[in-house]
Amino acid sequence: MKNIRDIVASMDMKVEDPQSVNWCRHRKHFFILSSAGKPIYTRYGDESRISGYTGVIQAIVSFFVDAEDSIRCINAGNHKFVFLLKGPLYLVAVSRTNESETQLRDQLNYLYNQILSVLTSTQLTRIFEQRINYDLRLLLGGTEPFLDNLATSMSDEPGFMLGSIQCVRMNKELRDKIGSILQIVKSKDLLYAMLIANNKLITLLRPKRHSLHSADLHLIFNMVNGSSTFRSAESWTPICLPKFNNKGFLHAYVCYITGNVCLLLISPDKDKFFELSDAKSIIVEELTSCNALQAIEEVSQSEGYSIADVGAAGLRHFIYKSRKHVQYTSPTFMAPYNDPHEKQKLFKLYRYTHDRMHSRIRPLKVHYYVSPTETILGWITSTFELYAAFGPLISKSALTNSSHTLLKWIKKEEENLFILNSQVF
Amino acid sequence: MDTTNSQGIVTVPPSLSYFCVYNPSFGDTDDSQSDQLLYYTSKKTVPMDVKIRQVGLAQGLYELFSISAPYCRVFSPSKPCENVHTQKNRLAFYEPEPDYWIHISIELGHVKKVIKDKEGKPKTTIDYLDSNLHDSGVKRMLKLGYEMYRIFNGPFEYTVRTDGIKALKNKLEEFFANWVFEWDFEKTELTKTVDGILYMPLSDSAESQITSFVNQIQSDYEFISDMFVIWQNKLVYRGNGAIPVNNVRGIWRHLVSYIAERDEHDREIENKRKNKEAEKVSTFMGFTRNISGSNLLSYFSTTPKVSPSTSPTNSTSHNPSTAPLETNGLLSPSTQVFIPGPSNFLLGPTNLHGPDGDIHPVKVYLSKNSNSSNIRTVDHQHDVDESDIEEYYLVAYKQNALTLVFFIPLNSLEGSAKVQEMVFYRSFHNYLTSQSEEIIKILNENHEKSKKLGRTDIDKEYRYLFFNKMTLAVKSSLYPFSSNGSLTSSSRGLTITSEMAHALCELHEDLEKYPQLTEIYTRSSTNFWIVGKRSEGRVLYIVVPKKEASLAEVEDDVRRITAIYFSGDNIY
Repeated sequence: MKNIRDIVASMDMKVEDPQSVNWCRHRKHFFILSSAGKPIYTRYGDESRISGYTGVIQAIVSFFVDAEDSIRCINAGNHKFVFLLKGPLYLVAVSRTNESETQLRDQLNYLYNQILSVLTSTQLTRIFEQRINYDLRLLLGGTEPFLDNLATSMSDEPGFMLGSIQCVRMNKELRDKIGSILQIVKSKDLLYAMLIANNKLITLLRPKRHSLHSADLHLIFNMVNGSSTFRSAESWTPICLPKFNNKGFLHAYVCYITGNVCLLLISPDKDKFFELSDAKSIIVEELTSCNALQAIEEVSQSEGYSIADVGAAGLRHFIYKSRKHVQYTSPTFMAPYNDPHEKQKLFKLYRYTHDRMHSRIRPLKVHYYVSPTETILGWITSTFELYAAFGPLISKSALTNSSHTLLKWIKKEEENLFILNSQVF
Repeated sequence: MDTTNSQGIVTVPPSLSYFCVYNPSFGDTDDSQSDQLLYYTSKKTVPMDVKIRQVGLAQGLYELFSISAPYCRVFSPSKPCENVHTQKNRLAFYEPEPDYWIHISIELGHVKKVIKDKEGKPKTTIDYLDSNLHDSGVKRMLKLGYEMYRIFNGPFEYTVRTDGIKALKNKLEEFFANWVFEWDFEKTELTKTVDGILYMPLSDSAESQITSFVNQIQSDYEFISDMFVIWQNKLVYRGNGAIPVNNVRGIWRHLVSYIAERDEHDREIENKRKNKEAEKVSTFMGFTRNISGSNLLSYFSTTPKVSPSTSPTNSTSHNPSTAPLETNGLLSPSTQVFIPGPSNFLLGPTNLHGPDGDIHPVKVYLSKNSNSSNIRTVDHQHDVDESDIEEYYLVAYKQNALTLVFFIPLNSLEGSAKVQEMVFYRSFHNYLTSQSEEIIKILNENHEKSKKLGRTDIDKEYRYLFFNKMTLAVKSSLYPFSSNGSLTSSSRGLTITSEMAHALCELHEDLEKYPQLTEIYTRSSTNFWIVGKRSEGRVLYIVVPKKEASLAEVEDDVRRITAIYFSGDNIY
């Protein structure tokens, strides 16, 4: 068994690559390698250049495996190296974003699920059983953009951390109307039907006994988002939804029906493209005839609702997750958070709050803290999770009042902010 | 100690797997790798090649992430690898001096349960308690271990340069061997992680009287360059600023364990006297006076212990009214006969009528404070440079609750000579006995007065910890136990549960990690509130166990305490 030090000493890293200087500057890297040490994916740069590095990672992991242990995380100053070992695949996150080990591992799990959604777990295991040195990049060709997009989304959107998705805020009547139109096309060929706009859900039709896990929904959103080809024509693509069934493929009919609005029809049967294409035509016809299509188009053009709608004094921004409905809602970003840098800083604060409150052994009900630039409140009950940002000087009583105002507003707007009752068949 | 509860659930506390000190530059070829190892100790015996692989891992991690490694500037982290979390273990790394590494591996505490699997067969599950071992606590222990080693043995490099590698290996073994395995990783007391100095506040008049007292002594004995004054276990006077504050802490901590031993000893004598056993020779297991890690046992472990040492004691004692002495030479090193004599020297000869040869003065190696008029914060990673080391003889004198600590620089000819002479100690002893009467009265009054101040009500009602990063002063009402383990009267309030203790450590780590935050309030799932507040270099951690209280109500409680500790006239 080779000494790690010797392996590192013999590592061949080409640092004269002009890309390398910038490469170091990225705040978060993701690597996926096979358990034999072969690079499969890197968020930045070229896989072929990091084989020295993945060799060392593999050696470090093996060191502990040999001792009947498994490595989870390395801390070096501001850097965290987080490991997720999934059979033939090793996933590693290297981050100086101050995200916690748990959060980074959750993100690695999403990346892993993205791979499963392209391959299924059966295929993945089989490949490496047959050939431990298999170069998975051959099969994953074309998947990189989806992995890249997922990596970006995980930094930009709170839904991954919250394990829930966001709905488009719209009039309940309109949403119900759309849902009933989707009901028209239900058949044994159809498993799920949904309308999506801007990474938010408009409505979802599902079998009574099969709810759609938010992790699967995230992968669906990622797929739609990750490729511009879906915009130009109807598409038919295999997809594995790991939470639904990680061993087999479903098939998704994807078509933009107007502007930013995308229709997805998911079938267990790979030969049903034409049937589903017909279904789409029916849907569009029905939506047009009752002017719903126009209304959806308008709603989808807007970025979302503004914090001013809430009327809570001192409240700058919030994220509210309904635990029962597994959905969250959040307004658009107003000053100062309309600046991308400030927005990232705010997310960092929300992530810190979320992490502390969701500690496995010592979860918290309330987490409140003050910095020179803001005051953040985290509040978790059995029905909701709230993350709210205020100015740095707000008093605790004013903050409490404001939070109550927000909760009242959400209660009042509930049926427009969330899908309270899915369309089922 | 493993504990089993009534449902057969076994809880195993965290324990040390191995501890080592190494320097990669001592053996950087394939053949000489074992030369890197300066000291290694482990729970189970481990073959040399495994040790080398463990050191190899440590180094590989270092090189992988180091800025200086020429072939790998991949991530340029700000610091080298500090710790590794695995499913079952925690590894920690600390580089106290350039190229010298301390590396430790701890087996995590875990809970073993036997459950029934799907077929009804019994299955053992093990849940490893990763979040119950705080990296900040482990780091503090490594730093503390090095600090204490260095005070009594000098920096590693210094020893290598003056006495060679073998000498260093011997010193490491002697210092770390005994007590490394006594480290209690289960103890999550914030007081241990913060590791501050207990001060006793002085009234203005007491302060000026202490100053004149100290000045008088130092002018009568010019070779004494600096002094500490300790009352009971609290530091009253911390010297003239020549000694940096982390050394002050180390010396104070060391003295406190001696003071506790001596108090214990005195109590036993008192008891024996009361039981009319005074005519018997009072013999006790050897109080080791050699400066090895064994004296730190009482600081680290759950039960204070005295352990034998392989080196001779500082002195034997002679009580003229008792039976003939047994001298050093006739006894095995581990059972020295100790007869309490009339001398009050805690560090120094206890038998003032013995020969000069019995004197083994304690030597310490302290850093120089570059700016002796300020107290410096101690966050630098490497602070060794031989020109930076000052060697002193340490002498300590205890009378009642007063302990005086004297620093005599080695490079003072007169001082170095005097500390080897019994004659000096005799006269110094008499001098101090008479000089101290007055100051003991003053400090006693001061102590009584401060007990009466409103502050003690706060101590009864609230559980808090205050820490000043500049002076390392700490004031805590978290664990109001007296030194002999019994509850003091101020402990009528809340008991800090283990959940609260962990939560306090986590809050502490947050404040350290995010220096821009000024306050944090958390409410646990069992509804107790913990608050952390920061103001310049001062930090306050408060437990408010009011289940129904709102955020604003908790703030009222917090204000009562910050009013005292964050105000301008706070003496800490």
